[in-house]
Amino acid sequence: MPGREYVIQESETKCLDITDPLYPGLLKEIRDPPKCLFYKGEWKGDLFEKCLAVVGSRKISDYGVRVTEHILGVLGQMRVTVVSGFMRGVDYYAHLSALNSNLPTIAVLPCGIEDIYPVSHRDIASKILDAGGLVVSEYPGRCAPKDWMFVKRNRIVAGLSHGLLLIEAAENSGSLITFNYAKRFKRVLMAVPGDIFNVNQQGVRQALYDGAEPVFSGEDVVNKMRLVVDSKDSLSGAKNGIAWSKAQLVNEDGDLGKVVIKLKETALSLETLSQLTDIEISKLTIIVTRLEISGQVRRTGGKYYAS
Amino acid sequence: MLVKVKSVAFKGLEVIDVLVEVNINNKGLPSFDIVGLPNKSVEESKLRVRSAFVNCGVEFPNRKITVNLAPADLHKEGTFYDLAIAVGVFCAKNGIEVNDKWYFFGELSLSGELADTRGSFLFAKYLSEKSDSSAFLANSALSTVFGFRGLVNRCNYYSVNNLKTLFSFFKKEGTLQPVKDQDSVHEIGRLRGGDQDPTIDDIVGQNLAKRALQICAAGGHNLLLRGSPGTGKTMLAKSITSILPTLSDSERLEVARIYSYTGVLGGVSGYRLLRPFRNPHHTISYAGMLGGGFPILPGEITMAHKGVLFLDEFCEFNRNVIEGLRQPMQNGYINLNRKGQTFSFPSKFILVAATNPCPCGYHGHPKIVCTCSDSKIFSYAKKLSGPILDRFDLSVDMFPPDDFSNKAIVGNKYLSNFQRSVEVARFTQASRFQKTAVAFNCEMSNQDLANFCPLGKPSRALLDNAYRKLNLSPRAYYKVIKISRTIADLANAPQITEAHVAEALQFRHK
Repeated sequence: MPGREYVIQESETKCLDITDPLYPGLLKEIRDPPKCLFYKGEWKGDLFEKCLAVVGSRKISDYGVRVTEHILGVLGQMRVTVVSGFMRGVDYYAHLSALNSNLPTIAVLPCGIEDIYPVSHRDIASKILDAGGLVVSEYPGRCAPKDWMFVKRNRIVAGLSHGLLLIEAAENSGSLITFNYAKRFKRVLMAVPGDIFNVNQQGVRQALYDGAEPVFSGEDVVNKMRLVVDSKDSLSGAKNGIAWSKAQLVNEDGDLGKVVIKLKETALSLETLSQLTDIEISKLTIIVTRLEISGQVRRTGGKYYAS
Repeated sequence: MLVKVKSVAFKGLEVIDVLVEVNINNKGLPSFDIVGLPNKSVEESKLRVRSAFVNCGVEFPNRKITVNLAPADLHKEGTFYDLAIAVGVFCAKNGIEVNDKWYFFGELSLSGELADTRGSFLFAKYLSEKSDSSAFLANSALSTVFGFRGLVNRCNYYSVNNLKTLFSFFKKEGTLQPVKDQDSVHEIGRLRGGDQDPTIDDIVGQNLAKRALQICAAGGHNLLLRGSPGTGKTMLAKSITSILPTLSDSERLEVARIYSYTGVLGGVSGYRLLRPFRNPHHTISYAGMLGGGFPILPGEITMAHKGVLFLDEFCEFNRNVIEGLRQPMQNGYINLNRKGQTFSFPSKFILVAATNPCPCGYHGHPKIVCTCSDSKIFSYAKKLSGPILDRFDLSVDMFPPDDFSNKAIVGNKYLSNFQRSVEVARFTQASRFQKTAVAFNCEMSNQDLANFCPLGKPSRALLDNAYRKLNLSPRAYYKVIKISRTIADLANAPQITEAHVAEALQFRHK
């Protein structure tokens, strides 16, 4: 949609004082709550009823993408707001998956409210606003982010949320700062375990030692956060249902099913998939395209996975 | 006395008649001057000619000699005027008229031997279309000329070894016989690639990339390979020469003209000419890639004409150089302006580019950890954005093969199958586009797509669905149709089916 990317600049910036009754109670309780929050979008109290911070590495692997999409997909029926830091990587996919699951989402910027950082995320900012979410910052006007501002931003992400979900983080990751804030604020701490050898999982291990509870599915998050089903929105659940009908899995040779089963295990390149399923590559491309169009399979960084 | 001798000049690849006028004046102080915008290499010809005369036992006239190269406002460069000037001086001295259909071309050594120089093929090609004319050139140059089938030889070629024989011919003391083309040399092994180049079967695994290469070779589509170091990107790109068809006779002539102009044709006979594969380093300059300098030289894009331009480490190339590729790729030629003149060079090539996913190369690698920051990865990928990415029809992500012992990966032999199918697909395209300016599927305009690539209902529905679900751009939408056409051609299918479209969709950019 041409011209759409500037919506964020066009939409009016508003300011919410700490004395305002709408100021989220949870955020007010922290040691140094922002005196004033600048935001775009429509501020509704129920947006802050149940917030889940989803944070993690800026360098997301295909595993991370899959985890984020999977968990937030399950949360689609729940009454929950996804809060994240609007960075590349896990943050981006958290916002994106929330939008895809019809969940409201709040992006907390490290920079001035009139700046969008990173600039390449302009389009997702306007999508967040369109979907009834918020873009928030404690800094007015235009100002470029500095290192310390990211840390300050993290305290807001943790402060706004009832629980925090950590997906992929290296040992010195910034998302561990958010994690430590959340720990100090006594939020529900959750982390998704991953490969123990992966550098990008060492932060997660740290978090698990530090009291995060391991979660293995969307249901785990629902239980730990005590989320309730959102009565007014039952549509999204059906849309994101992951139950496979038998008919979908059976194809003339059963190849379709074979592919889906393999891709549900891990993300694979076409090359590997071809060896595992013994399907010739040119035939496999056809199958994968069909699955992609029907939404059963997705592609990231040249690899495919079944959501 | 005044004598007029014919030679040629090059204006880019264009050949122009040049009249070498030599006047020997008996009055005035002895001198030897060349006028008509000669450059240093032409200017030096005076010394070579004088020595050659002496060493052939002919006295060099000790008079006022003026040589004019007409048209006098055209810059002349090259050493090949030596022969014409020597002939002019000799005939002027001895009062001999020179036939105005005789053309002279060649560089002299101090001993009077004739040497081949760059441009000799262009010269011969130019004369081959002029009936009744005669070309005098070095023996070594002739062997190059005769290797080309499809060159209509209407003129007579005289092979000249040294000045002495030529002088005795002019004095009617000796004879020179025109040399005839030996047809036998034509069919001696037509080679596809160099002996050192890997063939497609030398690469382990990477079946998807091989398939992409096959499509790229068949339809002339540009291909982008992305993957970690060592996955075989470079080797794969080099192996494209093994599946491309050999040069056709007309293509061979076009390539030889360019090679001759730049002087790389050397002693290669026509039948040994390989499809160009150019692999410039990523530090290449703007002029090196697109052509430039004065006297003007074509760049890599022209050297790759009718062949493949392979840009390894694509993201490391200077941004300007990459952006400069856009227009010549679109047009199939490049116009360069130097010193008030416009030169046009052809530039129709298949672009194959290879790039790492990030500066360290290991982003997304299954085992090795990437050490780049997220912004580094982002800005690296951003070098490929927009208009340049649009030039690539096919895009493939490559990963290291999982298992070397697996028969399924190692054992596949594609070479002969690929060669055959590519030739078939090219033939199909040639007959389809007979009455149009288009040569390959990749060149089709949207109008051509409507004419030549009608989609059936199911394939149309699939494509429309994909457009919506997979967030294709309108341009990507049309690219998919073009690739489907090539895939259908490879399968020798008259109609584009759903399967062709579905396969084409997997080669879109991520």
